[in-house]
Amino acid sequence: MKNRLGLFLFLVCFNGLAAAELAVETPTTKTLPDPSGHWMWVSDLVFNAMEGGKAYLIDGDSGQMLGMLSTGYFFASALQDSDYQTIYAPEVYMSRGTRGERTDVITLYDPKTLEPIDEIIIPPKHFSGIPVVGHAAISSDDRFIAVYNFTPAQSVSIVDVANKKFLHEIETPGCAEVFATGSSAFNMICGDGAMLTLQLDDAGTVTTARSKKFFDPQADMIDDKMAPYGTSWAFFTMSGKVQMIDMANGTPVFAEPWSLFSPDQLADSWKLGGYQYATICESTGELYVLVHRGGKYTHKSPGVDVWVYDIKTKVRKRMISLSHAATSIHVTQDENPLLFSADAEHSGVRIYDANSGKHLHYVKGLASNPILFWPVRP
Amino acid sequence: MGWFDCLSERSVRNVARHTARRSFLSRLGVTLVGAAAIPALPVARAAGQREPAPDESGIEGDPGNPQTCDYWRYCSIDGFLCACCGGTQNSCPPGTEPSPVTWIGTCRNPADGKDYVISYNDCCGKSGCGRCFCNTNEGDAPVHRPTLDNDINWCLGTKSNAYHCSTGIVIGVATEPLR
Repeated sequence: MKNRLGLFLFLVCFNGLAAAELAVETPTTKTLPDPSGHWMWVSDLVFNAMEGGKAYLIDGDSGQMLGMLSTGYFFASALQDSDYQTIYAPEVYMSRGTRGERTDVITLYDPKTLEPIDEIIIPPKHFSGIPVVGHAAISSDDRFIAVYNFTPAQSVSIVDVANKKFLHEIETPGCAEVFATGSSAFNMICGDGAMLTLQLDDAGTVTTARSKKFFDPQADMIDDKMAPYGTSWAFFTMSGKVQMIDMANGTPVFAEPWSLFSPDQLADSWKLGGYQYATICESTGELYVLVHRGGKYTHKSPGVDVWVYDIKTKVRKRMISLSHAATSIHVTQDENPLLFSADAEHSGVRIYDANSGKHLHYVKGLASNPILFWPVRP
Repeated sequence: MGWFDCLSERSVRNVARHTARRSFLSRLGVTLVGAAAIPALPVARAAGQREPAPDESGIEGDPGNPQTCDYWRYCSIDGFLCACCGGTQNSCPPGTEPSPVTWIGTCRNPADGKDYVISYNDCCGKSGCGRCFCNTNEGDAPVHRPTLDNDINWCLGTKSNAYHCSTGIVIGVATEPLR
């Protein structure tokens, strides 16, 4: 009897273990599904070790990280073509990490595999610094990429996207940053208050034209934090004025500036602040700005308040109070947008319902210094 | 302290302390200031023989702790303090090279009440130091006004473009009254 009981227990245990045993596995690599308009890229400056720049891809619906790019020294952000078939990342490398020969490339990544598939060598002059959105741009017809150079001589490298070839360098003394405008044109901001238009022909040959001065750098400087909206870009002065500039035909058309802040709000020290403090949702036509109360020279300070304006009526529609202070924000481009914020105090990115302001996700530990968002536009 | 914390704290603290300097700097017409062009500070000659402690400038009439963001020369600095990284307020840490071009600010020395033009030469050739991040931003301007922009990587014209830390070098007394 005793032996039979022992045999019974042995069989139960053995069978039980056999049932729980896992199948043998082999490692695989995931690829990404079709892109979503709720996906967002965020660049990581990695300020302590900038040779190790990164870009993280986040799904705003699930709050999950989907993948990453390793993007070299002082990385700012990448560009995409109009149907998100290729990611173009302007990258800088030194042959021995922090020393040796410098090579600047535009690396082409497959958006599904996130693998580098090709590269275009460009002059080793790409602007490096705290990332600004105007460090590079791709024309709306996907034909040309312009890269802003600073050595400190100012110039632009023109790249032929279809032939994956650097074409030539245009000297642009006194003018900085590049913004894609029209089908084959780029605009730059000049320190004296004008705008410089680079118009490209089919061969990529550039002719330049200078606009009238549209701001007074001594009185109220245009900042280097801008937001695209259709064929226009929204620029912002240090005092909180909005300058919409339509660039549909290449040549800039300047709208009448308007102020985000009433005289009372200005007297109450409300200011724009952060590293990417403005973003516009294409579908809803809403402008989101990150604001705080502070004095002069607090233009990089984080904020917890996001004010939402109708870009057409110029009226503030609502206010969002973030759960945690942010240095950068970006909204997705659909009818039910999500608002992403770079947490100013902790490593990570937070995601909010942009309509209700409800906090949805905290992507904890993502990026040492998340600083610049750019949305996936499927 | 995280760099963003430091950023906000320093930004707010310095707001009320100084008057506008941008107009002066524009008139000054200074574009790129090289370390090689740095004149000797009159007060520098009074420096004693004793090797200064890391938390003092070692220069008579140059008060404050160069390892803190409060040090008067750092009114428009943005980066890791070289004084915390093996260098000093006016020298680069071993194995790094000062940038010959940089951005400038104007800071008031509390010892003599004078305004000095400060050149924030970066030290280059190694990865980011990671210590004593300060971001004070007085007179800081956007990328399209580069000589007043402290967000630019000024490790240019050096053997390596890798940014390590920032100094605050006195390059002269501001001779015009500030507005």
